[in-house]
Amino acid sequence: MLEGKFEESSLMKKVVDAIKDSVKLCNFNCTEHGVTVQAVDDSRVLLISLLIGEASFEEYRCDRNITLGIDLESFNKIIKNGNSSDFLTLIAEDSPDNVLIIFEDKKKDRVSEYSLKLMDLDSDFLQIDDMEFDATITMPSSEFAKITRDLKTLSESLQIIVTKENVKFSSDGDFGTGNVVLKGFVDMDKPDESIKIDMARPINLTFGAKYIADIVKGTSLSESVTIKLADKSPALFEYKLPSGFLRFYLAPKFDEEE
Amino acid sequence: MGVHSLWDILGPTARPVRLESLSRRKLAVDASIWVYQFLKAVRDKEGNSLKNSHIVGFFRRICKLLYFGILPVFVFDGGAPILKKETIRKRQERRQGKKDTLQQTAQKLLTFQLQKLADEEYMKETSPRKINKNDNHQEKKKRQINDDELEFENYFEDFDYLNSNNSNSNNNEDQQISTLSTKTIQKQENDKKFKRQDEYHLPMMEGFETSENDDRMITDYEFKRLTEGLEDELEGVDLEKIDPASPEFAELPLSTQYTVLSHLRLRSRLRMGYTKEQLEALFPKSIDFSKFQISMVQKRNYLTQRLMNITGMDNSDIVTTRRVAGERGREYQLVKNEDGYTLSLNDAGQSSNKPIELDENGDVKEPEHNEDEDQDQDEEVEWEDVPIENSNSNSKEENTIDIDALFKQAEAMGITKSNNKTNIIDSLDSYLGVDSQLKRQAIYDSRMDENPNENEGDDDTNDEDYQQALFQSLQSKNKNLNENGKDHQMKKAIEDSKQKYFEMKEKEKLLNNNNNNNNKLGSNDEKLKSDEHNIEIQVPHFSLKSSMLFNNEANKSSEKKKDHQRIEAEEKRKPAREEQEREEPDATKKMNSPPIKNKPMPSWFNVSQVETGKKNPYNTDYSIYNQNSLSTEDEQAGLISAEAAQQYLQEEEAEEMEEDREAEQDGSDLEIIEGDQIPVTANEKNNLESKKLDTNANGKAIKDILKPKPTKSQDQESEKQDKVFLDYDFSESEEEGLKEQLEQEEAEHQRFTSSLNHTQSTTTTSSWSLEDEAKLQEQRRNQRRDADEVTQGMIDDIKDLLKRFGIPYTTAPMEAEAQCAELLSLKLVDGIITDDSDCFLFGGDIIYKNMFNEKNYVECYMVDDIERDLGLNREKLIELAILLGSDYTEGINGVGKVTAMEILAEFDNGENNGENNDEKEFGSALINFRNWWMDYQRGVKIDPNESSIRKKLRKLLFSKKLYLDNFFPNQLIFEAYLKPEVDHDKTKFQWGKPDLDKLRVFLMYNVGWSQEKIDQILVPVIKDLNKKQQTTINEFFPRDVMQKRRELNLGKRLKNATAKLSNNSNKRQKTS
Repeated sequence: MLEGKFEESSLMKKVVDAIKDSVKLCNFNCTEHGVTVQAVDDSRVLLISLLIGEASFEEYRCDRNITLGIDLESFNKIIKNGNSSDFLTLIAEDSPDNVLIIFEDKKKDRVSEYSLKLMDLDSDFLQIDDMEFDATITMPSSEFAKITRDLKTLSESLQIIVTKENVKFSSDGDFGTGNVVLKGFVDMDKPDESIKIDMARPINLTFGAKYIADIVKGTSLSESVTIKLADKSPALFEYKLPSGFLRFYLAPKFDEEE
Repeated sequence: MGVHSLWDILGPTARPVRLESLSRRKLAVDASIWVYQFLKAVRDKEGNSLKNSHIVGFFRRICKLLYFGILPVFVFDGGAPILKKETIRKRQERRQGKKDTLQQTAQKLLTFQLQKLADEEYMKETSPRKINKNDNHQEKKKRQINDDELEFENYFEDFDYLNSNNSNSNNNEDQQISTLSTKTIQKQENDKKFKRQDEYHLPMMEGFETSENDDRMITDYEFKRLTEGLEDELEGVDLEKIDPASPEFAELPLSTQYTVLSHLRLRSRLRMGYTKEQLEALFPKSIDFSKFQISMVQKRNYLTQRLMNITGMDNSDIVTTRRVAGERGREYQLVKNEDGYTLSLNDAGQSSNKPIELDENGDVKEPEHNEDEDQDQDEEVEWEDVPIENSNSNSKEENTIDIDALFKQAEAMGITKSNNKTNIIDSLDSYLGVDSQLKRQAIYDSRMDENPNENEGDDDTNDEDYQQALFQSLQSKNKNLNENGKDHQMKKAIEDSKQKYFEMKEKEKLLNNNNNNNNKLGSNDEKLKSDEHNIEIQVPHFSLKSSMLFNNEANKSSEKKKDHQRIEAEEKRKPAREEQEREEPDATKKMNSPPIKNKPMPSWFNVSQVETGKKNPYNTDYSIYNQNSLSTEDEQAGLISAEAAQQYLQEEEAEEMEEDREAEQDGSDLEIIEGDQIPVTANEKNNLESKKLDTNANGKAIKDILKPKPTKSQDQESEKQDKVFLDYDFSESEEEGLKEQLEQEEAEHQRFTSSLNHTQSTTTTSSWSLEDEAKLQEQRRNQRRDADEVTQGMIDDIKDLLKRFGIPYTTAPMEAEAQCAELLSLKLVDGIITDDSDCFLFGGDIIYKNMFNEKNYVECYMVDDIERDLGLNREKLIELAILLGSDYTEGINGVGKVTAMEILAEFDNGENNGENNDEKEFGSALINFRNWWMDYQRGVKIDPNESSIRKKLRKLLFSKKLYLDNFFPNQLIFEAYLKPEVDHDKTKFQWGKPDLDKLRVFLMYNVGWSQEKIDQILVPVIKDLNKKQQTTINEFFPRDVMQKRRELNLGKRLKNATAKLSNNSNKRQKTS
């Protein structure tokens, strides 16, 4: 039996918004610690790892591990029906055929109840060990989203070059090139506006721009984004949740020779 | 290709995989299959393979692979393993109908005999209870027969009612028949005392006990097999190898002989199991083919004769009786059966057959008769021999009715009749038109002869040439001819309009009729004499026939002159019909099916032919028409050959006389003379001597038409053709035999006409040329696949192309898919692209199928998925292949995918075996299955508690005559799949860059593309290749194999089977 009640439905809305373009179908694995999702996009380049911790819920109860195979597109349609400020409750049986989604208006006594059919989905789990990264960048999520959007217009690839002082986002397209260079700085008043660059080794990685464009859909979840890079490895883009995270692992592009 | 319908089983386990996710994957490509695919699939409008389809196809596919960043390794076939060759050979043979070897056939015959003996033993030894049952059976039988008798009498009551005028004669007949029938019944009842049930049924012996476990007793299996499979026990036997003339054959029980012969005869009617292509190859000249056909007809003749002998001898045989009674007992035809048992009555049947023809004319008037007739014909087709007698007797009854009715109404209704007639059938009209034409020609001829009397003379000479004894009868017929001639003259006046023509004809006929009647009344005695003569002459030639035809007549005439007169009158009125009548009683013999002519009959045929030829060209024509219509109905060769002959004639007008004649003989004459060439030659001689066309046989008559008025006749011919094809369309739903023959003929025809004018043939060919082509293509494809038509040159082309692309390739020692699997297991590649399901059996774990069907996705099959979801591991897959059939084994007849899965599930005991232990036999489930079946074969008592699946299985497999021995499952097959001959080289593959220039040159030279076109495709691909490659997540994070079994969308039976199998496989994994 799963029973999870969010103080506001907006969190769930944002989460679904953030991942629904990358994956269509995914399993929500509910444990006593919270809800986790691991999903890989169809082209198997981008891996999504989501944790909604127990603390994100106002009330949370999950006696036994439950897997909810959810079609995100349908889920999104239902989720949108609630006001952002409504209570959102998810209820599912132990071996559920469907999940109940209940919105409760805080002022009025309106209760909207929806039921979503669940799917039996392939669940191939990837073992993501704790990776060691050569560089970590923390920056405002909106900043990252803007850079990505701008540079994506030039080329389908986005290059991230990390040096001692700065991080350079660069794009080399048919009709021109674009570079955005950021330097680390600290905003004491608004810590979220700070840009922090930690580098053990210089990094030069290329990613598919369209995947990064998908990643920045998580922007609304958090004020800042953390990018962790390692040579010839997938990069990690992380949005922090109040309790938990939304992580994207993105496989880089290689030159043939490398 | 691969394991039959394995893809259907595995289908649900497939995962759609985005092509992008295969980026940077090394995939082994089973290229051998590609070449075939391109050869098969890429064709132009005419169905010809395009010259460089393989290059273009490969080029496109390579581009797609490269575009998605896939690193392909192409693997080519080296050779085919012996096992595969053997299987392919067997399949081909089976396709060609050469089912078994001589030895096997002999074995089967022997076992059949043994089984029968065993059966007898069994019957002997069974407990009294069973015999009691049999007694019950007998009683039932008796009752049935009584019923039949009753029916019989009822029928005759009706008969009397209908023919109150002739009640006397009918009563006589009735009495005669009924006495005969009672006699036969009595006889049967006498027989019943002991072998009423069947020939193995033996009387009960008191105090004789048996135990069910007695080894000597026949097992349930065999008993069932015997009793149920009796009808088609010869299915698997190679009939070709049986020599009906051999003394061994004569040793067989009559019923077996009968079955064999009828099968053989049926077969000989088809194309001997040859395909059209084979026939074409065998007979480059169509004349040769015609000769071949003639020889086949001879063979059929012989067989028919044998059949008749057997059935004749069988008269007292209860098996035959039962057969007839069982099948047709419900109809009044049973009466005929009983007639059939008495020879004299048979004869009576024939004379009555004549009226059937009359029925055809009186179609509208008395449709029932026609229906009956149809029935008869159908039955004849179905029943071959037995029906002959039946139809005889049947028609006999109709006959009398017909004769009476027709005779009475003849004068009054004559004109209406003719009107009706014109209305009857379009085709009939057309034929009649032709008839009239023929008549005209005949008249011309006779005029040229200056005198119809000369005809007489000709006839006489002919008679002398052939049989002097026929003289008298012919004379009377000549008289007929004279009258006809007069009529012709009358006709001639009205030649212009067809309709009038028809009417005139009818009138003419009436006139004839009347005249004849008068004649007959006057010269009745003479007639009788001649008839008797006929009998005398013909009896020696073919006892059965003659007795049927003429004895009857004689009897009748002597006993009932009136009736006889009427019959005679009818005969005279429509001599053509007389012909038909004679032919119809044994549809098998003459018209309908040339196949069935007996050797002894040729002389008779000859005579009859001469008669027809002399009597009236109209006759011949009519017979042709008859042939056509009958054959369209009965789907027998007659139609086609006749038509072909006509086409032939049209085409070969310009050609020489001799050829013409030959063609005619092949075609229209074929039906009538066919079996014997001697009479034909005799005819020809005759022709040459007399040099009168009308004296010649049918073919000549046709020729006559063609010569003097080629244009008109052509028109009519074409019309005729159209009609014929219309007819064909109507009878569409019927057997394939005709179609095949049509096609065969058509192919021949096309070949012929290709050099000549196409206008005539177009209309006819268009109707099914498409189908034809499809068939041809299919066959060609099959041949390609089986006969290794992929040339080394093509492979070299592709290898060259691959080199220019910088793509590695390898040639497998044997099968490409096995090598692919080996590359995968050596970790030289990450997956296999193939459409060949064999690959799983060779150990291919990750297989991508339909790579090029969809834009973005490919089906991915993983052995892990298959084992988890379906419970099929590699060994089980091989077992499946043994059941379903694959490249290495033919499979078990009647076992489809669901049954196969059920067998595996049912007999899989969940034990771990095979793979770890070399000593152990592979295929535990199949071994269990085999043991189970062999127990049944051996007659071990069936466990009454066995599962319903097993019960069903037993029933199914029994009906398919499964026979298993200790060598099942063949360990060689396991060996072949588990240890295929492959290259174990572990050298890694290197990928180069495509060389744009070299590719341009290659494509321009080989395919003729412009540089622009090449660049359009190649440049983006190469550009893409030079960019950085997108990696995938899976390269960095190991995949966690913890997956649960998926619920697949399967049928209920499959679901149960897979559930059990996967449970077992889980158990196995746990224990190991």
